[in-house]
Amino acid sequence: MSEPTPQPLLTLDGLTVAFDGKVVVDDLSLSVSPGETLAIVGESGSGKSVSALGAIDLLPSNAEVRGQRWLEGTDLTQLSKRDWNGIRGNRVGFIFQEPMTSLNPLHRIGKQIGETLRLHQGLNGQAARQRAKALLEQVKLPRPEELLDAWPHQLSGGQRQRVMIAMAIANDPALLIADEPTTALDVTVQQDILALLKELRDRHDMGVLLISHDLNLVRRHADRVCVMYQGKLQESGRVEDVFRRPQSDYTKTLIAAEPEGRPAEPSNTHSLLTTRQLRVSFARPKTRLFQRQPPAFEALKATDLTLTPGETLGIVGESGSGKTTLASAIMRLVASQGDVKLGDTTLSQFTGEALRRQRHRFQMVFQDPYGALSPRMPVFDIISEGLRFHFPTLSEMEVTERVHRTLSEVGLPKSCADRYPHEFSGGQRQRIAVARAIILEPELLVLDEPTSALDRTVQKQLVVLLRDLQARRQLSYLFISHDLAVVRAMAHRIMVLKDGEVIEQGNCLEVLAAPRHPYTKALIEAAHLN
Amino acid sequence: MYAITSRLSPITLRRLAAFRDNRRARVSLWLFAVLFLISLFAELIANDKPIFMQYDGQWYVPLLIDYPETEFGGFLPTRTDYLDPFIQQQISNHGWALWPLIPFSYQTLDMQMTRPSPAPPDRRHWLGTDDQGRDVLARVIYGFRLSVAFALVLTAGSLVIGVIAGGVQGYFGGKVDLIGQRITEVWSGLPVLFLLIILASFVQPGFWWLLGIMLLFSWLGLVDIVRAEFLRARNLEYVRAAKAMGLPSHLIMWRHVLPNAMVATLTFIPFIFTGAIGTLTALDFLGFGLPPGAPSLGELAAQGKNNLHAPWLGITAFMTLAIMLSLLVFIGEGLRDAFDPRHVKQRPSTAQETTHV
Repeated sequence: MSEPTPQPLLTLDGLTVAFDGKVVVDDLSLSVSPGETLAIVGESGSGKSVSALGAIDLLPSNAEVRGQRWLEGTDLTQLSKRDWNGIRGNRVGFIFQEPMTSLNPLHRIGKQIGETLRLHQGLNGQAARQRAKALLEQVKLPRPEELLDAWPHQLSGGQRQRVMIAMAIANDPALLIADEPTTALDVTVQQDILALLKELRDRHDMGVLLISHDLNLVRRHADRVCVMYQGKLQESGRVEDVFRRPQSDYTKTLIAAEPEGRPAEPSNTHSLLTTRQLRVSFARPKTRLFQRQPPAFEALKATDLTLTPGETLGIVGESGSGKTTLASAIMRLVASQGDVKLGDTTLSQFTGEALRRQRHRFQMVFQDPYGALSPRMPVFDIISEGLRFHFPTLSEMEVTERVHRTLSEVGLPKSCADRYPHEFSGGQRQRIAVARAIILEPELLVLDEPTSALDRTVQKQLVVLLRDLQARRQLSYLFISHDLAVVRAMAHRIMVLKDGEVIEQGNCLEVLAAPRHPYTKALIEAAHLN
Repeated sequence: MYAITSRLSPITLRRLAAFRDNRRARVSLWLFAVLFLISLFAELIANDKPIFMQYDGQWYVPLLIDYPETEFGGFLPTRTDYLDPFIQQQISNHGWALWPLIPFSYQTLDMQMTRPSPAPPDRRHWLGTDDQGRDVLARVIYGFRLSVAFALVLTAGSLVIGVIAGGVQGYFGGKVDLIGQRITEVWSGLPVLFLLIILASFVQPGFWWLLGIMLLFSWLGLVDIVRAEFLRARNLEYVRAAKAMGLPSHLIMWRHVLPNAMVATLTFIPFIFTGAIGTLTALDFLGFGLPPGAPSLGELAAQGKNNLHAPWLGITAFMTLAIMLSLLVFIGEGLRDAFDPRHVKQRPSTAQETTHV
């Protein structure tokens, strides 16, 4: 790590951003020096992205930006539209969060990189191609010559993010703004991307403004850090100082927000859920007429698992490992082979109406709190819908009573009942989703990444809530997550999936302490549990 | 009880605001609503009977009840012809009568005409008469109502059939979808116009006959849109959540998928509506539509074509249709734009206020 040089690259002084009169960034001052990584950390809605976009005039027209902004002696507040085009993509490069959507799907990789080269350096044809190839080599993509002619959909998420980085550094920018560059990627890929960013920074002596919500990542990849909360700068300083001796209260809660504690030990030992040789496969489409049916894609290979009442089994793996497929198979939402047994009932023998009548015994909470609640129904209807279907004999009074009781059980006030989902924050919505599931008094709750869309502090509260519910109701959880810190706080046992196959399972703490499989080792290493 | 207190979601409010901001659509909607409202009371505006009258101290409501002519000093026990000068003389001698604004119904033949039919506009017939001596304005008012009513029923019918067919195909997907799609394709290949012409040769197609035949085909346009919406919605998480909850398919489709599929469907409706009016008019123009004597704009247009020396016929038909269809298209455009998310000012997602649990 290089020492910050006295001449700063980007200086913001008293930056204030307001949308239609509502202030979202309030009096932010910071500076980035060449060869240094400055991280802005905060939860969603803290104004961290808005301040970076506001600094370089990328906000929609209803935003009002005030304050001093300097880039290497250029006063950014005085620039005309034309001047900005010479700065953005040239002296300032960007990397956005979503590698899946930030590349144009209709253009080949080479053409997309060539576009920035043509605009800012006037390179054309073979020269641009040569330079693009060199850039792909710099971001360490294999077979750059072939990749130039590849379409974005042929690349994985990590590869696309590397292409994005190649485009960002194409014009040797002085400043690189990376807005949550690795959030959409698997943990093992995240490490590689961040290491690459660091290497490029040192080679080109760039300043990097890294925007992230992930403290762990910031701690290991930034030199200095600014903590933001509700649009205000809480604290800034060298990473070691801030993390070791946090000054503001908010930073302290943020650092302490790592999920902690352990679930209560289950008292029962008879098994509640058993799967035997559970398999899921999807037919591959024929590419030619009259072709032989290609072999099916096995999303989940034969899996055996058991779960006792009051126990949590954590399912861990990266995207595409078959975690969600396993959950859907147990929930009987996708066609599968093999047995699923809940208590004394063999669920895999039921279909149609008979299966529907069993469904109140096993419920599911979905990943996306914004998509899992019907936007056109008030909360009362959302929660009571299943109750009315499974227990049609309940009177209106009893239904209301149970909805209110369940709401208070998940820590929401009664007054929530007649509001609509859009009025709630992500954490509150996830609580509503939990309420909808537990009001049916299920024995098994399948939780598919319930915390991954939430901020750390909210995650922690949800984990505590889920553990309380488990202890009170002797619920069994199948807890799916890619986040080992959350899994450690939730699960009694864990199961590691890779490419649809169980590669390791056992007691949660034992596996985390002494993983046997190299893939599990890599996962745990990348997660940097403390 | 909670569903009744349906507060409008911000999306709906935003759409309403977008529609209101579109001045052309707003004015068109008002104009069309007023015109349709007026035409709904056509009997009170254009009729060959008084609305009510007093005769020898007694009250009569000729609009609703048929009185024999003998009641008013006539000679025959037949229905009274109130336009008869003798009866009018009797009424003014023995009491008074409140006449509609236009004293002719759509099929009244004006027996007191001193000029040959078709007669040009004058103070008695504001838009002239057609070649059978019927008042053109009265026919336009009734014809407007008939066209709009026809289009309304046809649109409602197409909506029900189209949403059910498209919804089932989209929601279940797979083989249901595949077979359903092929059937709709074959069905949409049938020539509607020939069917109607063949039908006209052995039944006298009335309002309901025409409606039935056209309903057989008009829903096809909706199927693709509804199917696409259902295909998309069935993989949404709250639909999967409802499945996991054990709700039966028809409830999931009705409560969770349909409300969200309706947005795309609604934008399509005004165009089905205009299409229905256009088709009805075309059939009437060709003579395969409503029975003779029915107040139809297409028939008026045909008369205009046959009587080029009486331009008020053709001009009236053209203006009526042009205004009606333009208003509907403007309303449809306004609706489509209001539902189009791209027409809404972009708000950055990062600027949303987040309240913590």
